[in-house]
Amino acid sequence: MDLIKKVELLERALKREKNARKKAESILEDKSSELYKLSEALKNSNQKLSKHLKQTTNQLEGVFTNIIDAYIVIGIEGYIMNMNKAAIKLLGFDNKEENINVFNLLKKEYREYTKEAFKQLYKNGTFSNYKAELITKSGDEKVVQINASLIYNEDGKPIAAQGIARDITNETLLKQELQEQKRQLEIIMDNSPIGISLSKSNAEGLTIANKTLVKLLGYSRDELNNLDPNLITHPDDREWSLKYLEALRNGKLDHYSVEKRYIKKDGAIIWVKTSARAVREKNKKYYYQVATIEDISKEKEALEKLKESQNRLAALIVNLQTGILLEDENRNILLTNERFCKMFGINALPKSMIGQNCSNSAEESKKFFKNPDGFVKRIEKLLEEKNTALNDQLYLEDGRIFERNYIPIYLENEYKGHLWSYTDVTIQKKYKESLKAQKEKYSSIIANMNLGLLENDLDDIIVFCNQSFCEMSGYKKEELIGKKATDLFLTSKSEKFYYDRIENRKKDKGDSYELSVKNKAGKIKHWLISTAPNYDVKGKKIGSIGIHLDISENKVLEKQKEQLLVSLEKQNEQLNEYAHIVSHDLKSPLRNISALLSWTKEDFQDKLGKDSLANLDLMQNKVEKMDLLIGNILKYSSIDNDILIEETIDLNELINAIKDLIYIPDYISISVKNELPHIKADKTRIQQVFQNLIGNAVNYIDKEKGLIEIDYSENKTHYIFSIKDNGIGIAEEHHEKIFKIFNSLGSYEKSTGIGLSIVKKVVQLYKGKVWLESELTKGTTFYFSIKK
Amino acid sequence: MKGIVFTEFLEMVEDKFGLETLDYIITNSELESEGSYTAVGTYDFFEMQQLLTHLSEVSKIPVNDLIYTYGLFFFKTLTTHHSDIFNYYTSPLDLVASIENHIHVQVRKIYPDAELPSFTVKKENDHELSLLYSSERAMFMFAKALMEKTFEYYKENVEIKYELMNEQGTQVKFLIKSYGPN
Repeated sequence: MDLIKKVELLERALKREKNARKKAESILEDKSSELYKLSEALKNSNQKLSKHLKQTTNQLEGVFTNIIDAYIVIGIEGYIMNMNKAAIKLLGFDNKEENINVFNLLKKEYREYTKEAFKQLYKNGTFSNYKAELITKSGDEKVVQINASLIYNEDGKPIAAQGIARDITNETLLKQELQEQKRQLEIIMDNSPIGISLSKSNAEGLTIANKTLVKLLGYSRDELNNLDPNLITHPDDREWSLKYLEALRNGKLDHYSVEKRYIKKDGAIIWVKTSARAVREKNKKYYYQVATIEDISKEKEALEKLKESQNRLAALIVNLQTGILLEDENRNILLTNERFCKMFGINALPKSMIGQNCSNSAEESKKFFKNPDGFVKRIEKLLEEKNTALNDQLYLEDGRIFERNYIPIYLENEYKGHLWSYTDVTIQKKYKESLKAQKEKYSSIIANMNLGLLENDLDDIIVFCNQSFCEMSGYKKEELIGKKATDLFLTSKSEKFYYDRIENRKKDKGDSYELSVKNKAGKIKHWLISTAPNYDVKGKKIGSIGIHLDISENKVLEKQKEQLLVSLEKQNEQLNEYAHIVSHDLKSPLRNISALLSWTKEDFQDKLGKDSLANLDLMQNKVEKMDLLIGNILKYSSIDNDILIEETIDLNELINAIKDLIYIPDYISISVKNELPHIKADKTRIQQVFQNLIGNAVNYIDKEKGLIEIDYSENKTHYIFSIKDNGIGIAEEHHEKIFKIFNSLGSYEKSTGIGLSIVKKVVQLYKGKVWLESELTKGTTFYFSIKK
Repeated sequence: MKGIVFTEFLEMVEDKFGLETLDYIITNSELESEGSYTAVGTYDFFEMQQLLTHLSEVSKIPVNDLIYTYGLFFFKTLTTHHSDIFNYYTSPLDLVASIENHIHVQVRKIYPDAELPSFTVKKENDHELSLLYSSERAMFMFAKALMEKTFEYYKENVEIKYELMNEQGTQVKFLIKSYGPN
């Protein structure tokens, strides 16, 4: 491209650029002048507006400062910017004097609510009916109601809030009080146990019905509001209760109270006591009707039951075994029964007597009683005093005894009459009397018997004692009763014995034992005690009864006897020993004498005369008899000493042996009538018995033909043997004597007087007896028995 | 038509085709402004039409392609002068969707006499947007270029399909599908 062309091109481009710049500059110039004009116009209008605003503000301020209600302007932070006189009066603060933030005046509990209210205010520009409690400068609490709105600046930004506050403190208090009163009334109504209703005479249904009534009738409050009470009245009660209602309506009655039935919603019948009252107010065409409704179903039921029980009671009284007479305060008969009529011989039906006056009846019936004047006087006294009198005893002429009760009847402290009841206690009384006599009898026995009687309780405390016991113990009755028997009487020695005895005693068993005790004087006594447990009426053990016998004297005697026995035994022994020694020592000189005599007779047979020889023979006989005597004494004294030997003895054999042993003359025959038994005994001794008895029989037979019979019988315990002879016999007065030692009867030369003594001793050894039957000149039978 | 569209167009022509071509298309067009444009002024769209037609003749490039290229070039002006809009939106799809209701509203505040195309936006789902372009100027390719550049700015992949509702291209339906960040 050539240069010229290029320059031309660039020139054109430059020209375009210059044009563009100029164009742009002119555009900018136009724009700026346009802007200037616009801003001038704005300034103008702004001034106008400000002026206008000021004017309006002043006007408004005038309005607000002069309004009766409190007016407050607060900034965004809550500080009061402006307030009128009413506001100063309300709050007590003045924003010209101090800086006040309204949040600080609020009661705590309203802070949250207030914040929320402010939020609403910012959002909506207004907030009405704000209610809060403030605390004023003087410390008072005020309830305020505030309607607030926002104040904006020129840019439409909120800069403050203004509000009109009303003091509603009193209003609120009144409202609260009213509500409280209403609430109290409602509480009374709803908690009343009685149904309460209020209705207007010009409106149907009940205006107010309390909870109890709702519950009582089963209808809800709303249902009751539209319900005619007469419709739920029981059909039988409807007509007459309507009459009452009408009387109330037309002013004849202001109040009535009736018992009637309602039909509940569920169809059940309820008995109620309804009291209705008309509350009329002046200048009002209608009146209020207040009714209280009380559920008396239970009372009704109770009344029915009472009637029933009264009937039952009456039937009971009629059939009672006690004579009943019920009189009213004027002494007219209210009730009596058959028994009463019978007791007093009244020939009338109890029913027909009701209503009769009894003022004269005491006088009329006094003839029945043993003490007629006393009877009448007592009744007069009872009727005058009017105090309950029970169990008066009345003795009748015919011997019967009545017990009478008088019971005055009071109803709510008012005397309403009295009840007489008569019971025939004749049999009872007699029974009681005989019982009493019996008791007295036994009491006197107990008191006077020689045995000491002591009654203790379970702790051994003395409950009762008789006179004898007092004498025995030396204590007086009052010293004994209430004391512990063991403490009084036990000695240190007898204590252990007593408690061991109690310990080992079987439960609920009696016991007898000897106990040494000390009496009041401290003297040791011996008592024989017989004790047994004592029970009460119900069979419960309540203690023990003991019978005491003082055996102290017996005890002494017993001791003496024991001592005596011991010394006797000793003496006996000594005597036996002595007898033994004596008989031994005597026998040998006797044998010597006998030998010397024989020798003298042999040596001097020729030299001595006939008489001398006879004397020597006599001497020899006497010596022999003496030897026999000593031998027998030896035998007798040795009977106790020997130990018994038991062997079986055939008595028949024994008798035969004896026949050979002793000399039996020919004219005497011995016969055994029955076969004798075999017995167990010491053969030698039994032989001695039989030998002595048979020997005696032989010796004392004086008849030409001697007869000895041996016989035997037995009973359960003993064998009884008999030896019968036809000898000289023994006189009655000697029957005892013959058994005593050294006693012999008659003149039999060899009799030592010891034989029967030996018999008796042996028989006694075998626990038998010896006895005899005898007739002088005719004979004797000796019996003896031996224990099997 | 706003002056800036002319000044930027001339800038692009000078830049891409040289001062000679620029001089040629201005001198050959019958321009009331005689080719002197200021960004704050307003000029007839007819002048732009003439300039475009002559450029297409000289460069042998169809008018729509030129408009598209100009759109790509013009985007830079937008980001320079109106960065706040790009900061305001975090997603290109949201930005595109708000052209009519937000961006154009703001444009009219500054340039009350601006003649703007209208966009009827319909969000198909989170990733797809259908858009109906309506303008007597029929510069839909300009709009397409601006939209592509917007996605590029936010570094997201996008597929923009369009369908001419009439021959003149005064009503064009766009279907924009975002593939998320690249």
